Amino acid sequence: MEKTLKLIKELKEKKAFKDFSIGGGIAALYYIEPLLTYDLDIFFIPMQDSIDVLAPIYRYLKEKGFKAKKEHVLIEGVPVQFIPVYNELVKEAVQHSDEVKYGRIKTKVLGLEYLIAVMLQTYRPKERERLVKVFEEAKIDHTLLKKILKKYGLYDKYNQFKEMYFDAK
Amino acid sequence: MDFMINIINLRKCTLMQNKAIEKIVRGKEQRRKDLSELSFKEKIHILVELQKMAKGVGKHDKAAARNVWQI
Repeated sequence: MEKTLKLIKELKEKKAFKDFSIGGGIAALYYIEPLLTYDLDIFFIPMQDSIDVLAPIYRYLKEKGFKAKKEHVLIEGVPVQFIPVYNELVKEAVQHSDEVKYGRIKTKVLGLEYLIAVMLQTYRPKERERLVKVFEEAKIDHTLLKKILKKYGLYDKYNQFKEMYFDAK
Repeated sequence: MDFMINIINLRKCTLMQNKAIEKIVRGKEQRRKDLSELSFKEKIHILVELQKMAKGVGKHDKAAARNVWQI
């Protein structure tokens, strides 16, 4: 995993993208108890708007001997999925990531409150399951969360979610 | 009179059961909280163990498509 994270960091240094952050199940796992997931999702901000924002990433990885398989690239034993930021919330989330340590490697994980907002926006069954755990186990800055949710029109959805799963707003 | 005693005993028994369940639930909550406070690296090691376990019990085709991380 350290080697995988080191290579992802290298991609930023080699200007394959402007910035990145770990999202998805692994980001959730960082804040709560370990949960089963299979992909390492990397949200990234492309260097420039172009049709194929993945090309510089795949080119660099190919040079290093890693090949893309379907939507993943297997990097040092870990299936990594590179996801370009697809809206303003995800872009802001990447920009407001937490710097965290994995062994000796420094990497970035979506900030907890932004991760919650992204999960509320995506809202598939697996996100709902993770959201329940996050609200039970993680230490949330509710003032910041409310600010983000209101900015992106997700506050009503948040209240619906809380009513559905926790019987209270 | 016997009927009343039975009712009281039943209530006591239910209360004791409820307390026992409450204790188990609290224990589980604490366990989850303790796990959530592990380091990132420790959590990833647990994740790999979960992947191995899931591969053992999953449907063959689905499990084969989802590999255990080789880290």
